[in-house]
Amino acid sequence: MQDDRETTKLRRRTVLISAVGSISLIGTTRWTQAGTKVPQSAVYYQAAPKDGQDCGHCAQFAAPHSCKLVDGDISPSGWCRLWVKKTA
Amino acid sequence: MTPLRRSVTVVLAAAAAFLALRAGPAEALPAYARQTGLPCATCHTAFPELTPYGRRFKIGGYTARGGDWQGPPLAALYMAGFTHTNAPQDAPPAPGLHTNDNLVSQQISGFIAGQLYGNVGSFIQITGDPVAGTAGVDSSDVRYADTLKLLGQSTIWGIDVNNSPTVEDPWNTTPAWSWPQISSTIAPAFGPPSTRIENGYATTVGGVGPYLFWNDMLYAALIAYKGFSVPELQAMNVGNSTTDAVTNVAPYWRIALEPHWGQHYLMVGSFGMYGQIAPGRQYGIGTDNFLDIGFDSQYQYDGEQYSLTVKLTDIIERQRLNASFFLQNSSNITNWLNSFKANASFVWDHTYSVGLGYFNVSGSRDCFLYGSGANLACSPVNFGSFNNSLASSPNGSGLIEDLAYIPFSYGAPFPYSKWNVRLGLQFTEYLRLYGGGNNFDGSNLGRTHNAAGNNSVFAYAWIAF
Repeated sequence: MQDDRETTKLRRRTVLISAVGSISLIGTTRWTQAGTKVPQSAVYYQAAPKDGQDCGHCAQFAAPHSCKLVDGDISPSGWCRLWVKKTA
Repeated sequence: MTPLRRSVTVVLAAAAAFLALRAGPAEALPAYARQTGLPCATCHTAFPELTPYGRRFKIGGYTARGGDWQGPPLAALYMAGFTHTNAPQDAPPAPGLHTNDNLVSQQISGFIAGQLYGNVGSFIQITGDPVAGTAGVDSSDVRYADTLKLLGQSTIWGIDVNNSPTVEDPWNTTPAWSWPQISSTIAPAFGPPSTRIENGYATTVGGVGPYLFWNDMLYAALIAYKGFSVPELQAMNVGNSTTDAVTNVAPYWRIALEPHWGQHYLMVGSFGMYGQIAPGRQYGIGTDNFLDIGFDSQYQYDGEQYSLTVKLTDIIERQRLNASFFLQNSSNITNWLNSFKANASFVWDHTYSVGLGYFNVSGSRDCFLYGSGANLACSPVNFGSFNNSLASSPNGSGLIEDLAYIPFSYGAPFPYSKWNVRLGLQFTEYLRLYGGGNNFDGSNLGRTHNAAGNNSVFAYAWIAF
């Protein structure tokens, strides 16, 4: 029984150290820019601006013709539901 | 709480706090919003329910990145609630509480949530229950996702690892994320039993399997689960040597079709799981075998000004209780249990939410499994958590109304831009419990031993940051 408790304590300690270590590693990792994109239809993409908003002035736009979050060819004068104002 | 558990809790909390401080206050949590550079409203109709884009972000492995945040993907939440029940409970629901009208901190969670590296993303949750004084690994999943062309159509495929069946599912019709996602942890005193897939596997199993989302329409997943060993359960603080054990490689399957026409999304699907359980980790007496088959459907109008989400879920469970029958915990070797839920949420501008729901649990009568001691014709040998029915019945039904105000779905004020609050009022009304209305267990004690005595008002605050 004592051995079982010791084993459990050791495993708990191992898990705890691993968890803290993993979190620390995550904290020092530099994140890559990869990531899956969604289809244009899922975000209501349209080729024309809407209410003064267009992709060319969106924080997600990647010139000349793509988007960080939406798949496919993206027009700077297009618009979709993910529009976020680009900051200077 | 043992000194060891307390020290683990303190160390984890300190680590999370330290890393959160390291992240700096200039950038915002929750982690997904920081990573994508999108407001909460993009992924949630009213958090935590998902929009079509929110589902695709999840299917895509939590890796979509549009924000300029380069720090660790950490987040946290805090839930507090005041619970009033129609009648006081027989005893306080936890030490230090009253038999009614309790205000408690009911959940504190820390998350590692977002892109871990490249195409690998996570929703890892460690939860503390201040009422019980415990902390452990909560429902979590880690996945790898990528894209390919399949039959000429764009397809997202991935591998998911999780510890709770359906936590990986992107719809709010399956058990792990079903509505309402928040409820009181100290009431009701008596609630209807759940199917195994609803409340029998979470955090005590580990599973891995592939999934795909073809042509932005067809979703399929297949996951194989194994039960955690006692040391693993203890290490994660989610079980012990008497926790039910899953003895087989338990298969879980999921298929869903989600066509959409403009802003109208329809989903019809099915899911299920087969598990062989050694109750209380008692071996050599056969196993209790549970086959759960669920059917679900959702309609969602994803408008710019408002959304409407209507959801239906029905889970049919076939039970073969070899072990429980041997232990005289059930009178029948075979039983069935059915859980039906229907609910609808209307959300205005991702800010004001009104939800209405109905639930109905029905099943075969079983003296030893559900029968109360007041039924002399039944006289259960052992008394478990379901021995509450004079009629030896699991049948129960009720209504839930939830009103919520979510002020910061488009951005929060100082000091962070991406944190949010859900302030809500939830009413639960039990139409019947354990096959009866008044005195459903035959105890003649009144109060919560009448179905309506468990009716509750739950006022809550849910803060995610």
